[in-house]
Amino acid sequence: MNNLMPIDQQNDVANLASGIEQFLTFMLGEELYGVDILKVQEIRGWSEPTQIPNAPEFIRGVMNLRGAIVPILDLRRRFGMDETEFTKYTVVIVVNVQDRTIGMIVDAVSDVVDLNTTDIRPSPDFGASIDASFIRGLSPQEEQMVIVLNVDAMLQACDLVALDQLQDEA
Amino acid sequence: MNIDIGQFQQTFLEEAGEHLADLETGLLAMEQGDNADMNAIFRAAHSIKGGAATFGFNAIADFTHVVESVLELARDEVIPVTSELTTELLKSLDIITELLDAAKNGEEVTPADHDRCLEALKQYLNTEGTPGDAPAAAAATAEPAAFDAEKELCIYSISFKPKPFLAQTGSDPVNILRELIHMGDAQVTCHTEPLPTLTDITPEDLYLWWEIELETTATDTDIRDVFLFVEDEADIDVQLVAALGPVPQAAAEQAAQTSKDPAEVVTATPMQERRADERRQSTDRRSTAREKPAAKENQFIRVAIDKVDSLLNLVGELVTTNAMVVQHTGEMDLEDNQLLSSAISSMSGHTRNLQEAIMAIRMMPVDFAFSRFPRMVRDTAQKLGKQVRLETSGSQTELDKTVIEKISDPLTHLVRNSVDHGIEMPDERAAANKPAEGVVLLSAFYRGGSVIIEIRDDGKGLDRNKIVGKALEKGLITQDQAENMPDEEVWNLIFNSGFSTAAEVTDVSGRGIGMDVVRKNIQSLGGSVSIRSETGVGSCFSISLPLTLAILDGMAIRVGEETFIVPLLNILESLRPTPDLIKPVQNGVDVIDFRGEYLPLLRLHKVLHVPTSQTVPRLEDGIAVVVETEQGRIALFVDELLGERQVVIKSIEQNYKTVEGISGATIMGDGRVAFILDLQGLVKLAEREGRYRRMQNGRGAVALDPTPTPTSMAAEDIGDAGGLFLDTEEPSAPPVEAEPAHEQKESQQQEQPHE
Repeated sequence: MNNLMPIDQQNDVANLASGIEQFLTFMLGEELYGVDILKVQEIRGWSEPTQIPNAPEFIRGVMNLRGAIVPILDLRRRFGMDETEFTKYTVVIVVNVQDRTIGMIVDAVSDVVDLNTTDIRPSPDFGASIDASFIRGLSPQEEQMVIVLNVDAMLQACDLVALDQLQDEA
Repeated sequence: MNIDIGQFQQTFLEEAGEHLADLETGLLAMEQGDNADMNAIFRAAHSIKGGAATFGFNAIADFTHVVESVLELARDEVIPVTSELTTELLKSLDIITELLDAAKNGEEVTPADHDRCLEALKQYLNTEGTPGDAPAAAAATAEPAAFDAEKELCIYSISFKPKPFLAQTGSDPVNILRELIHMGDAQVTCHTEPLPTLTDITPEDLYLWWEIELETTATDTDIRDVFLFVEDEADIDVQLVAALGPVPQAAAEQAAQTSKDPAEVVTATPMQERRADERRQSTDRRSTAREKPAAKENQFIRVAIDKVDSLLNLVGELVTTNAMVVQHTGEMDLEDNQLLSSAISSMSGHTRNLQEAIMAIRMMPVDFAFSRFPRMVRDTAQKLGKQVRLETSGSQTELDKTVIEKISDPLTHLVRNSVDHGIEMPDERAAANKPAEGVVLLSAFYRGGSVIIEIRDDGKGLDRNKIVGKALEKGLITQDQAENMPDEEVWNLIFNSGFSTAAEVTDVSGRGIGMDVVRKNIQSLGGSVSIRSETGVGSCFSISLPLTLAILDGMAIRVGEETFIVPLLNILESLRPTPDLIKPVQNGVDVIDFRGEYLPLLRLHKVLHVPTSQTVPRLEDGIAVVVETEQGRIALFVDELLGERQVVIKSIEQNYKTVEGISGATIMGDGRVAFILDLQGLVKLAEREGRYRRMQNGRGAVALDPTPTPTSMAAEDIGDAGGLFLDTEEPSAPPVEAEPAHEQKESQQQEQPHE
């Protein structure tokens, strides 16, 4: 968890200059995904949320995060993956995007890794199940590929955050 | 000695708004011949002028100066307080408001009416000049020209002993001395005896006092007026030493001229000036925009509303946490630990008190909304040629700030309507044996957990025939209904959009927008509005509002495993639906017999698509909650009532989006989120899904076939499965109990392919 502490600013500047960014990686099925760590607010254990009436299936509901009502997004459902039992590793990654706080259910968190942004390669077509716009690209990390998520685009597509200006005009 | 006056400017601008409101109130009282608040009016005008001059808003200062002068003449009865004068003065307040608004935005504008109004006011100043009757005018305008031809020249002995803290209130004794010097020939003696040795001096304190011998044409009152703002912080004594008799104008002007140059007099007392300079520096350092006495300043602080809101949010958290502690410890055996259980109970008490105290911070007297009406009623009545008196009561009743802000517009509408439509023309009133002057009574009071605001007039009352006629014309009701409708329901028809009975559209009201917006606004605040009216006697609009928007009194209900909150205000009653009360009717909408009134029965788990596996299988095991909605009364079918709860309202929109049928969320004692139902939205949602059919006039009782629907159908159902199915709208569906939970869910999803 210490890895999640705010990054030292100097470090930050140095990283920006060299194109190194930090990502929180997590497991979803067999795949390793990564989100920009600057978007991550915290990681919570899984607890059953309150269902939102007539909400899309991938919105599991809302939970109480210290008084704030936070919607919980089920990434497995969103990506059309099989459902699994929730285990003790199941966690909710709480992200902050466009002043909104949203939780994402993942199988387990893995690590915090430094990725060189120049190493992130465009992703191949995943087919219909995962919208290519959700994926910023792939980056090799030791043995495994990290699928780097574009959290903003994904939450926009889930209608969870407002569309940005560019897409509004389109 | 560089101080940032920007922040003081802001304070001044805010306060000026309050002073203007005081002025308006005072002016209206003055018109009624009530001069009690005269000093308050002057203080207000003077504060605006002084503040404006200090912060460089010269346009405001100059204009207010003229207004103040006219006011002075009116107070001293030099000019009569006529309706025209009041109108002109009220207009001048509008202009000052415009100037202030412009100043707030850093703009410089000249309001359209500025010059004309200024001219009109100056007319009053000029008509004042009949010799001998206006001794007061001189000091008020402080212009040499205002000195009158013949005045009593007197010598006064004035002693001015400021208290040590005078400078800390933002007053500068030097300015007061200057003002006195302007009034005539003055000899100022500065007493330095109280001055301690240098080592003992407190730099902020004032040690000097003055004696002034003043030869002037001004009156005792004028001199005292100079000390208006320091009278609480100084010992002031004004004695008439000798009256020298009337002086010719030339001499008076000369006197004024010679005394005009303060420097001349000041050089006579260099010691005083030097001291005063030092004093001024120390005053400047903590110069504030306020000219109010210190005692008043201490009682209020200005706090940004979001600070209060975050406090409220935190305490809401605390309340929730407290409830969790109570719940968890309640499950433990605390027999051996009396201390802990008493600590917990006192913590609960403190938490509740803390919450109430913080809520109280947001409370404001409803007077803030009422204060604009005297003016409005007066203007409207004048425009219509009516005589209307506005009375208010309970203006100290407190309401949440947000509620007050949002209720202002609907109230304005209703008050204006009362004056326009309610109160008759004077001759009509005379014919009806009523006093020519109509009365609009605006009152506020507490009733239960709500605040009631009533707008009552003694006018002609609502016209049943007119309203019914209009409703028929608009096709809102049928002829049959028109004849049998109770009055109360007829009155409610005026809340339909596009409904206006005013014969012609006036400048004031009658455009047919309004009443529906009024009701919508009130409902969006969680309130309701009702009408009582009696022909020829008057009508009364009664608005019921929650004390606050942050907390809701609700009934917790259970549907399946989920908890929902129904606003208590909407609940009429709850009952256990026995099979004989339920009448399935065509289009698959059931109705329930609620004391002879047939209400649509809305199954909450259907509308909200809550998993039904835990939902009670039979209607008679659940509860029907009868609620009042915009679309009429309906019955909500729920599994169980969990009891009344006071809940802190949280926004879903902050992190998610608006959910139809849900107005907000709250956090229950166990830390879980529960949704607060929005009944209007719920009905709309159900209507769209065909689970609810709006009765022709929104009232189940009137629209249904008067002959009761045969109960045999329900009886059959009961025969089949030992109870009335929840799914009577899908007769082909298998009984609920027989169906696995997830399949049931799927079948529900198939029901609505349109989504």
